[in-house]
Amino acid sequence: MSAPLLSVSELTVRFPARGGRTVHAVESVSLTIAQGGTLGLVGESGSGKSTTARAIAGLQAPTAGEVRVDGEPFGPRSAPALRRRVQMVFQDPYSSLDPRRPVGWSVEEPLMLHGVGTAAVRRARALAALDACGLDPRLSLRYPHELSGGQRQRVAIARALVVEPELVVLDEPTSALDVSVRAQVIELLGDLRRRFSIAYLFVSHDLAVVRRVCEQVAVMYLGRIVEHGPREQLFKAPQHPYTRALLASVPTLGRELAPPPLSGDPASPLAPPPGCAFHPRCPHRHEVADERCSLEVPFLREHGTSRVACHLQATPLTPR
Amino acid sequence: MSLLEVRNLRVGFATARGWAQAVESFSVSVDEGEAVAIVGESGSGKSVSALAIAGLLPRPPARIETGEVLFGGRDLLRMPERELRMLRGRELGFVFQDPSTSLHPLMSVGEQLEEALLVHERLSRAEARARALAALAEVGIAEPDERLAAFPHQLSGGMRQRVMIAMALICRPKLLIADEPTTALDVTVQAQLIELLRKLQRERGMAILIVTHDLALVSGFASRTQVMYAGSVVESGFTSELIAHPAHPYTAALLRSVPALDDALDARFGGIAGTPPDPTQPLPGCAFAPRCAHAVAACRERRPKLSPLALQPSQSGALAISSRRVACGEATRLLSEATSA
Repeated sequence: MSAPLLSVSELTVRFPARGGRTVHAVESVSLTIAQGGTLGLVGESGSGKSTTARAIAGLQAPTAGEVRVDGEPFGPRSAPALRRRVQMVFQDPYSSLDPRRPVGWSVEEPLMLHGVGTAAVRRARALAALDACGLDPRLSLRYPHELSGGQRQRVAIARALVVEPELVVLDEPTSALDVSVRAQVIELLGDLRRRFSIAYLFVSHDLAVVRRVCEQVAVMYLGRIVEHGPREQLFKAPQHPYTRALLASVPTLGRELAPPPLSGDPASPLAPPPGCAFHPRCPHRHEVADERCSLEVPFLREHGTSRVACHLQATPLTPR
Repeated sequence: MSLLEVRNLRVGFATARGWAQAVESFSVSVDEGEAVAIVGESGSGKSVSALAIAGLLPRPPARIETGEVLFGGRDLLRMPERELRMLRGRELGFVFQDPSTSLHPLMSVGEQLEEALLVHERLSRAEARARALAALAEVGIAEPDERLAAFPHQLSGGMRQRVMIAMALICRPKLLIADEPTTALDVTVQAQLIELLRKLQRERGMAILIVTHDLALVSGFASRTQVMYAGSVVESGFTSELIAHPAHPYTAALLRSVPALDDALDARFGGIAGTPPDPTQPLPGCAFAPRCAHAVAACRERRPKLSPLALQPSQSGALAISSRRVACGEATRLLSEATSA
C-alpha cells in the first residue's frame, strides 16, 4: 500500500507565554489523510485545532513530531514544489486577499510565486479557478471590499485551488458567513472535491457543517485528539464523554433544548489539567478506579472503527 | 397590555454613501414573562432595532425617524436621558455579544456589580457586596467570592458573559434584551447560558427579547419568533409553528440552509443565491424579490406589508397555524402548494 497523502505523527506545538509559562497548544497529535480523503477537525476554543491546521499547512514549525506529505517531510522550509501541494483557506478571506489589488490578481499571485506558465496562461487559469468556484469572471476586476463575504470566500478558495493542490487545509472557512451563504459554500466545497479529487482537512467548531463535508472526524480537547473515526460512527455512536457532550450541546431546529451536558469552561492551554485534560468536567470520571483520570494521560486506542482516548474504554459507555 | 410594545420603528444612518435605511419597519410586543426572538442574518436590522429600543444608538449618525417604544406604557424614545438611564439599570437589562465592550477593564467584577446596585438602590456597601456575591452564584460562577476581586481580562469568555448577565440581572429587571448573547461562545458553554436564561425566565417571570442569527437556538427557547430581512419584519408567529410551516419564502429558504446533525447526507441544502439589497439603495418592491425563487412581477413593484396570513379555516386547523403575520403577497398560495405537495 502506498503512503497516505498526509501523515502527521506525534505533532506537538508549544508557545512561550509571559511569566515563563508555556501554552500547550498541540500535544502528540497523529493522523493521516488519504488521497482525496476528508478529515474534519472539531473542537472548542483552545482545543488546538487551528494550530494543528497551521502546522500541517507548513505555516507553523512544530515543537516536536513531524508532518509528511506523500512520504516527504513537510514544513515551513520545504521546497516550493512540495509546498504547492498543500494550500490553506482561512476564516477571514480578507487576510489572504490584497485589499489594493483586484481579486483576479490575488488568484493569479500563487501561480507567479510558483513560476507557473506565461502571463496569458496564468490569467486563463485564474479565470478558470474563479469559474469553478461559481464566480463570474468579470468579478476578477473588482476589489475585495466590493464583494460580499460569500464572494470573498469563494475567491480565497479559488486562490487555493489555482495551483492544483492535493490537500486543502480549511480553517473555519464558513464561520464568518451568514447561514444562507454558508450553505452555498459548503455545497461548493463538496462539488470541488468530487470534480478535482482534492483532500480536505476541514477545521470547524460547527459539528453539523463538519458532518456534511467530512468522511472522517477527529475531536480535539485541550491540544489532544480524544476521538477519531468515520463520521457514521462518530455522530451516531460517540464513545468519548466529551464527544457525547459536544454533540448533545448542539441545538436542533424544532426540538426542545436538552439540559446542558457539561458545566464550567474548558481549562486554559496554559495550565492543562493533569491526567486526562477533560477530567475536571467529565461526568464519568468517578466510574474509573484509582483516580486514574486525574493522574494518567489516556492514549488513543482502537475501538471498533474509531480511536478513543478515555480510561473508561475498558467498560464502554452504553449508548443512550 | 404588553410589557414592551414597539410600533413602526424606522431607523436610518447618515453614511458617506448616503442615507442607509437600517430599519424600515419594526414592531414587536413582549408580554410579561415571555421569551420572544428576533431572527435575521447580518444587515437585517435586528441589532439596530434592539439598540434603538434600549436608547443605546449613537445619534447622530443614527436617526430614529418614526416609532414608539412603549415599556410599561411609557414611550422610551421620548423619555429624558436621565430617567431612561435609571430605568435601564433597574427595569431593563441588556446583554451583548461581546462582553468585553460592556465591562469596564479597570474595575473589578465586584466593583462593577456593586456600582449598579448603589446607583439604583439604597444599600449599604456590605449589603451590596452580599447581593453581588449572590448574583454571581446565581449565574453559575464557581467560587464567587474569589471572582469578585477579578478583573474582566482574568476571566474566560464564558465567565465574562456570565458576569455581564449577572450585571444585567442584579436589579431584577422585568425585561432582558439579549443581542447574540452566545454567539462568541463555545457550544458547551452556550448550552449552559441558554439554560440559565430559561431558568431566570421561569423562576423570576422575567421577559426576554433575544436577538440572534441562530434559528435552531431559539426553537427550544422563545415562544414567538419574528424573522427580519433587509430592515423589515417579514414573518412573525409561534416559533414551533413557524419552523414547521414557514410561510415567507425567505423563512423557508433560511430553514433549509441550517444543517442539522441528523439530516440526510445526500440531500443538497439550498442556501440562498445573491445578497441582500444595499441599504442605501432601497428597492421599490419586496426586498427579497431579487433572491426569491417564487417572485412574480407584482413582487418587484409593490412593497408587501406585514399582515395576517389568510388561510382557509380547514387549512389553518390542519397546519396548526395561528396568529401568523407575513409580508409576502404570494404566501398563501405558496403555503397551500407546499402542504398539498
